[in-house]
Amino acid sequence: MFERRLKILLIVLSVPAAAIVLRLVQLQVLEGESYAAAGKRMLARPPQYFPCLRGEIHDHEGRRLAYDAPAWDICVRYEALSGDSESLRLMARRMRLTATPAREQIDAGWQSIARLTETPIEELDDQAEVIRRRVRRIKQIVSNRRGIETPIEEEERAHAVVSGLDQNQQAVARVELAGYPWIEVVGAHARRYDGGESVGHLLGYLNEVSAADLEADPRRDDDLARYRDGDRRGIAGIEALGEQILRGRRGRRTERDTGVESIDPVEGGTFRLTIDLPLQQAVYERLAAAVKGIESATGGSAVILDVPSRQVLALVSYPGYDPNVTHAERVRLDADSKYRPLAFRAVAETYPPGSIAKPIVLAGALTSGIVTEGSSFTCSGQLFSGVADRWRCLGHHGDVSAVAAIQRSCNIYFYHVGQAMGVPNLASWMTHAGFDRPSGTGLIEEARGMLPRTDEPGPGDARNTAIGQGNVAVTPIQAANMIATIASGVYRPVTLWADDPQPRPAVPLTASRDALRAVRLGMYRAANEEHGTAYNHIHLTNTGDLVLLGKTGSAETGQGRVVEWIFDCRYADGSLDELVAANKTDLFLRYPRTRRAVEIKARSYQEFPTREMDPTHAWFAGYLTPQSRYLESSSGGRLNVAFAVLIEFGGRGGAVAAPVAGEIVQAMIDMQAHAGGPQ
Amino acid sequence: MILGLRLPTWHGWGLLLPIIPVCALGILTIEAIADPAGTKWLSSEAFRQLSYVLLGTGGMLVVLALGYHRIGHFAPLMFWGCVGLLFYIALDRYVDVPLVEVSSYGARRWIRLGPVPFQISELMKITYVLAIASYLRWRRNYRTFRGLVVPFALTLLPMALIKIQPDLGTALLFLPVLFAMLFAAGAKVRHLLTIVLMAVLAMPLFWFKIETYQRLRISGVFLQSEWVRHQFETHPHWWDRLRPASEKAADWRRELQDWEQLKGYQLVHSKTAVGGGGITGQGYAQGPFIENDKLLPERHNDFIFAMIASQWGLLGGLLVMACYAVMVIIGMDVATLTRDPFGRLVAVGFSSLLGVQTLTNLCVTIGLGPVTGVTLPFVSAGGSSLLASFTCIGLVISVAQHRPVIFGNEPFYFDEEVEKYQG
Repeated sequence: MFERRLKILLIVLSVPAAAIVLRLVQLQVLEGESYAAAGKRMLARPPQYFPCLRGEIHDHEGRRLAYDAPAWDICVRYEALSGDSESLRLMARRMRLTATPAREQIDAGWQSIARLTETPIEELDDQAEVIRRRVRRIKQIVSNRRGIETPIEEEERAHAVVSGLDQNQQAVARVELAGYPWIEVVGAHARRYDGGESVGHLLGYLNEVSAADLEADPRRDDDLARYRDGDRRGIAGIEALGEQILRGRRGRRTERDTGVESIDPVEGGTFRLTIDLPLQQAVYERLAAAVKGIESATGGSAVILDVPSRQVLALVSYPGYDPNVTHAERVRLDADSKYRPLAFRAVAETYPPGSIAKPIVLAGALTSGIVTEGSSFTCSGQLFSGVADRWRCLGHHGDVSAVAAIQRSCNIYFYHVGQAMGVPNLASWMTHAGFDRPSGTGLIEEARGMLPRTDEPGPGDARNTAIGQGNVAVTPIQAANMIATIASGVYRPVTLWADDPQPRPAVPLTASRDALRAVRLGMYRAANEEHGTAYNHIHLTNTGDLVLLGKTGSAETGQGRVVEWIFDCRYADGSLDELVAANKTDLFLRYPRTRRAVEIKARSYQEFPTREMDPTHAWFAGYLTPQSRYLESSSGGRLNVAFAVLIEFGGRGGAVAAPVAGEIVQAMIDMQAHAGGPQ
Repeated sequence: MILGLRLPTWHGWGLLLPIIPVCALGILTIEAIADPAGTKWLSSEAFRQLSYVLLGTGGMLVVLALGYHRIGHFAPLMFWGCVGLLFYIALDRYVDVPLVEVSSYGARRWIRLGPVPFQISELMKITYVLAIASYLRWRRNYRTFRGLVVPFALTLLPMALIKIQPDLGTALLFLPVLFAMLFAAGAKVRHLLTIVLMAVLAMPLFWFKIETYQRLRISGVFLQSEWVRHQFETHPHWWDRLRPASEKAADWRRELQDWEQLKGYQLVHSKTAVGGGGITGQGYAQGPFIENDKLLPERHNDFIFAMIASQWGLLGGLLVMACYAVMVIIGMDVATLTRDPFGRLVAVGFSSLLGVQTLTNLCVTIGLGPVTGVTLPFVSAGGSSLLASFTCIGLVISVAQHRPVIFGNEPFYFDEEVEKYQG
C-alpha cells in the first residue's frame, strides 16, 4: 500500500513535469526562431536623449538678458554616491578598475570637489541626497509598474553634483580629479544672466522639476518636450512666465532594425520683454543711491509704463541681487528680514497708496457730482475740533477747492469727499483704475493688493479710503497704471511680454472730461507751482515741450515692524532653545542645530525698539505729457510715460520720493536725447 | 525499487550523483552573468556560490553525523522555535525590532546573523517536514476527517506568517508537501479530495482578498496569450469586472494595454530567454540576456533556469529536469528501504518538497504559473536556499543509512476490511 501510494505520488508529480517538457519544446523548438529574434531586438539600445538649449530672454531692443552658456558639470557615478560597498564593487568591475575603491578614496574625491568648487561639504551632501532620492524614486516606480524589483540605468550613471564650471575651473578640475575615475567633468550648459542686480527679481530663476511638475506638465504626452527627472524649469520671474516659450525640445537618437533615427534638439524660443535694459539699470542706480542715503529707508521700487500701450519699460526693486547667484546665496539673502533683498517690491509687495490715491478719488467725486470744481471745504488742520490726534491734515489750508486739494494734498477736503462718496463708490472708482486686480504682467509673484470690504464698512472707512489709507493697498505697478489711467482717461492692463498674443482691451474711464482736467491741473500745480507738494523738489532740464504732472504720497505704515523674533525650538530629546533671529531661514543659518528641532514657534520680540511709529512710505507718481495740451488726455508722442516711485519707510513723498522721481525722469530725458532712447 | 526502476542508492550516497551537475550548472551560470567577458577565472559571485555549496556539503555531513533520529527528537522544539522567529519578523511590520532586514519593497524575510542575512522561511520548510513527520509517525487518527485538523493547523500557522512577509510563493509550497505526506501515510483519499474541493470552491473569495499585483500575476498566466488579451480588449467590461476597488479604472485598463511593458515584462523576457535558447542553446556566456544585464531582473536567482535554458537550450533544460527527477525518485526509494515510520515520512516529505519547489520554479519561468519568488534548489544564487537544500538531502541520506530493525507491522499498511470491522 505504501509503495503503491508513492508510485501514485510520483505519477502526480510527473504530470506537471510533462507539461513543462512540452512547454519547453513549444518555446525552444517550435517558436525558438522567433524568440531568438525577439531577444536580439531587446538588445537594441534605449533611445539616447540630447538636451536642448533654453531660449534667451531679451529686452525690447534685443539686448540679451538670459541665455544658456557653455559650462561644465562635475558628475559622480551613482555607485559612489550611494556609498554601498556592493555597488562600489560592481562599479569597479564595470569600469574595469583594478581594485574596488575604498570608502576613504570616495571621501577624498568628495573633499576635492568641495575644495575645487568652493562648495561647502554640507551642500554637496544635500545634492547627493537629492540624487539618491531621485534614483530611488525612479527605481520604485519602474519596479512597481513591472511588479518585480528592476535594476535601472540611472544606478550606473554619473550624476551632476556641481554645475556651471567655467573654462578655467573645468581645466583645473579635470587635472585634480583625474585620480578618481568615478568622477567625471562633463560639458553642459549653464543659465547665465546679463543686466546685473537691476534685473534679478525680474528674470527669476530655475529649479529642478518636482514630481508634481511632471504630473502637471502641459506637454506631458510629447516624449521630446516633456519634463524628465532632473530637468530644470523656471519657477520665478520671467523664467516662470516664459517657461512654455523658453523650454524647447530635446533631441533623440534611436537605433532600430531599419537604421538609426535621429531627431535634432530644437532650441527654446526667445522671450522678448518690453523692458528697456539701460533705463532699467539707470533707474536702479538712482533708486539705490536714494535708499542708501536715507537711514530709515529699507528699500524701494520704481515702475515706468508707456501710457498708450501700457508696456512696462522699467520694473525695478531695490535691493536687488545678481541673478547669477547660487541657491545657497539666495538662501542667505532670504535671511535678511530688514532689507528683504528677495522681495520683488514692484509687483509682489503691497503698500498703502496714501495721497497718490487722491487723483482717482477726485475724478470719481467730480464725475458723480458729489463736489464741483468751484465748491470748497475749509481746512483748519483737523476734521473735528477737539480731536487733535486723528483725522488730521498736514497743513492749515483754509478754503480748499478741488484743484487745490490735489495741489496741496489736503486730507480734510478728501475726508469730506470720502464721507459723501461712501466706500462702495470709492472702491468702484479705484477698481476701474486697476486697484485690487491683476496688473497684466502675468508674473506668478504678482500680488493683487486690497480694497476695503464694501458690504459693511465701518464709520471711518470711507474717510480713510479717500486718502489711500486703511484697508487700501497697492503694488507700485498698480500705482503707475492708475496714473497712466488718469493721464489717458483709459484703463488698460500692462504688457510685459512684447509678443504677448493676449489682447489688452482699453476700457475708457467713466470720468467726465472736466473732472479729469481738474485732476490734471491739480497734479500740474503740485509739481510746477508754488504751494505744490512737489514744487521745488523736482528740477528738470532739457525737457523741451514736455511737462511733468504728479502727485506725492506719504503713506502711514501704522504700527512698527517686527524685524526680529524669538523662536522657541523644541528638540526630540525634550531640550528647549530660545533664540532671536529675523526669520526661520536666518535662524537655521545662525544656529544650524535648530534644523533638527521637532517644533519651532515664533513670538514677536516685544522689547525691540522698532515698536515705535515707523516713518511713512514715500511715494511719487506722475507722468510726462506735452506742455501745449497737458490738461487733455495723453495719446502718445515723445516720452509719454507714467511712473510710480516708492521709497519704503523713506518719509515724506515730496521731500524724499519726488527728487528721486525727478532724477529718474531726467535720466530718461537725457537717454532719449542722446540715443533716441525709449519711445 | 518502485516504478520498477532500480536506481543506484548506495546507502543514500546515490542522491549526490544528480546534485553535482545541477550545482555546477548553477555556479557556471552565475559566473557567466557576473563576468561574461571572462576577465577573471572566478568572479566573486561565483566564488561565493561555490563556498555556499561547500558550506552546504559540510552542513549535510554534520546532519549525517548527528543522524535524522536524533534531530527528530527536537523536531517540535525546532518547529516552534522557527514559528517564533517568523513571528518576530512579522512583528517588525508593526514595531521596529532589531536584526530584521527589510527589502526595498518592504518585504521582511531575513534575520541578520553577523554579516549574513538568513532567510527564516527556508529553515521553516525543514523543521516543518520534520515536525509533521514526527507528529504522524505513531498516530493513525489522520485516517479520520477530524484527525486532519491538527496537521492542517500546524501547516496554516507558518503559512500565514510567511504570507505576511509577504512571500506567497514559499507559503504555498507547504500545502502540497502536507498532502504528499498525508497521502503517503495513508490518509483517506476522499478526505483529501474533499479538502481540495473546498479550497477550489473558496478560491473566488480569495480573488477579492489579494493585492492588485497578485491579481495581475495570476492574470498574467492567461494574459501572455495574445488571443486572451485581444478578447479582453474587445470586451473591456470583462476586464473591468476583475478590477480591484482600490485601483483606478484608467490604470487598470493600462495594465491590460501595456501588459508586455508592465506586469508582463518579466514573463515576456523570461520566455524570450528560454525560447531563444533553441535546441542546443546560445552557448556558454552568450546571448542577449547575458550581454545586457537589465533585460531579465532576478536572472541569477529565481529566474536562473531561463539563463540555463538560454545558454544550453532544450538539452540543458532536459538535463536539469532529469537530475531533479532522479533526486525525487531516489528520495522516494529511500522511503521504501526503511521500516522506521518517522524515516519514511522524512524521506517522502523532503523528496516531495524538492519536487514541488522545482516544478513551481520551472512553471514560473516558462509562464505556466504566476510569478512567485521561489528559488530553484541547488542552482539559484543564495546561501539560505543552498544550505536548506543540502540539509534536506543530508536528512534523506541519513534515513537511508540508519535503518533500525523494527519488529511489528509494516508501517502505513492499513487493512481497510479490518478497520471497517473494528470501527
